Amino acid sequence: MKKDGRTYRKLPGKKRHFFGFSRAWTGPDHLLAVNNHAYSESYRRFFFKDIQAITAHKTSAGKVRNILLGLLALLCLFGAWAIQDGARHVLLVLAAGSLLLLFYNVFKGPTCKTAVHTAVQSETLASLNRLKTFSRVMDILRPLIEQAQGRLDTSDLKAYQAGEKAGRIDAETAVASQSSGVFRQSTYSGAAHRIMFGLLVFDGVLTVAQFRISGVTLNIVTTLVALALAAAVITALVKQYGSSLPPGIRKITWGVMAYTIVSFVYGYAMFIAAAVKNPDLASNHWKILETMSHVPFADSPYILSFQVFFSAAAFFLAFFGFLFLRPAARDSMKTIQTRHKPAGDQ
Amino acid sequence: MIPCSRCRAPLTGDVFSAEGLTPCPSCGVPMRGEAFPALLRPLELPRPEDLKAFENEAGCFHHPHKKAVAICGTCGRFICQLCDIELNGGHICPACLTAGKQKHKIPALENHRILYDSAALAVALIPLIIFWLTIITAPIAIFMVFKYWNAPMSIIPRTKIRFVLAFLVAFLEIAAWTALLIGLIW
Repeated sequence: MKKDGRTYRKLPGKKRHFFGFSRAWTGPDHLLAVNNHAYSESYRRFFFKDIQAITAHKTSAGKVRNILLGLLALLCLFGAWAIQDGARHVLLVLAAGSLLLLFYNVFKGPTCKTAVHTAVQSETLASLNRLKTFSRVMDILRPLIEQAQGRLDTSDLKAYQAGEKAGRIDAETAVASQSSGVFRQSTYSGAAHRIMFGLLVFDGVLTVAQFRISGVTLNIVTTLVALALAAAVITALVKQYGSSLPPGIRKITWGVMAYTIVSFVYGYAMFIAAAVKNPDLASNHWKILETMSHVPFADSPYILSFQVFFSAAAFFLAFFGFLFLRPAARDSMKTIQTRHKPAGDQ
Repeated sequence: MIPCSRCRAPLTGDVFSAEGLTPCPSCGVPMRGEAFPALLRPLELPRPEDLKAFENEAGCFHHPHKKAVAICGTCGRFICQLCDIELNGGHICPACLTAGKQKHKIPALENHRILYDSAALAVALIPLIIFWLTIITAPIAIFMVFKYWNAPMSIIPRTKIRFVLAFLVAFLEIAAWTALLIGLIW
């Protein structure tokens, strides 16, 4: 095992999962992708002589993280400004931590998804999830692959671009491959998104109702609607993956996810605040719920501003969600034409 | 054809020739890529006359009518181009490949390994959450350390520090239980 260990060199980049991580290593004649699953490892080998291409496309994961960390820092700073007691320091520490993570995320650069392509497979390299890391790794891999295969001439690349040389495709296959290939995405019409936006409108209405009406029943109904919204947004996110929904709807759906998370965090913070202010009721969740239900908004600008924010955000997201969903729902199946013209048109 | 890893549409040469990010021709996602000569390598198909074994030529052990082109490095049998599998610079037949993979004799084909050191450390540490469980798990952790000390683990560089830590933690847990029991008895 020691002998095997000495032959592998670690590459930059590491992707952490819940119970493990992914890393890439270079061996004597191959690239090794290692997925650690806490108590086991799985390996995928890509021999340098077989690698046809390595691609990386930009993802929005980094931007989403920036937005969430920024929102968290703002919320904590706002809370620290509004609260005068000891919890202020906790919020300031949380805000500082969020800002540090935000700066770290910005420093690491944009996120990407990298794939290694051979003649028989295209596999994702999870550890190369930053464009900067991708560049550094390619600087290491390029000479190794060129040592095994040689260098690709720009003239050959231009010929590939023109479609004259296409790997293992001969004349007959080239004609066959130039038929209009279609790439069908999933036939999803947006039903889950409609339900999600409907629940969002309902949540907004209940939030507005809380300005005038107070009571445990309303609080319970609001909580149930929030739970249903959480389930709906997760369903919508799953459904939209691989579907033909436009990017606008996808981004709004992620916005609804952020809204749901923030509202849950806010609700939990309110619960904790009520428990701290009424320590004798801390063990009785029903009493705490009753206490929370009768908090007058006008007495606390902090709570008032959050309620206004949530109601406005709910209606805003729902409005634009329904607006973008209408044309997308009309085309429930979208075909993507390849660059090749149909064989009959040649 | 190299597909876009997001929308699966074929990529054009622009993606590979550009220095910075280029949008995918189909989904428009910014991307970059590097291509290598294997992309343009034609498939080397054997000619039918090369496959047929004549009377004065050695034939494949599995396909007697096909010409032998190599000798299996494991069993020494003659093998044809169809049976010939190049592995680590040598030649191997499908039967030896299958047997080697099943018996874990070919490291280059191993796709999965158990990390007994991480498992032993987890068995020693995690039950500390409910301390009384350690009276059962501490001996199990020590047993795992001794049983799997020489077992093949990760193919990438890895020290035995986790085994050492698992042993130390389990030993301390057993010592604590022993002290507790002695204290209770006396």
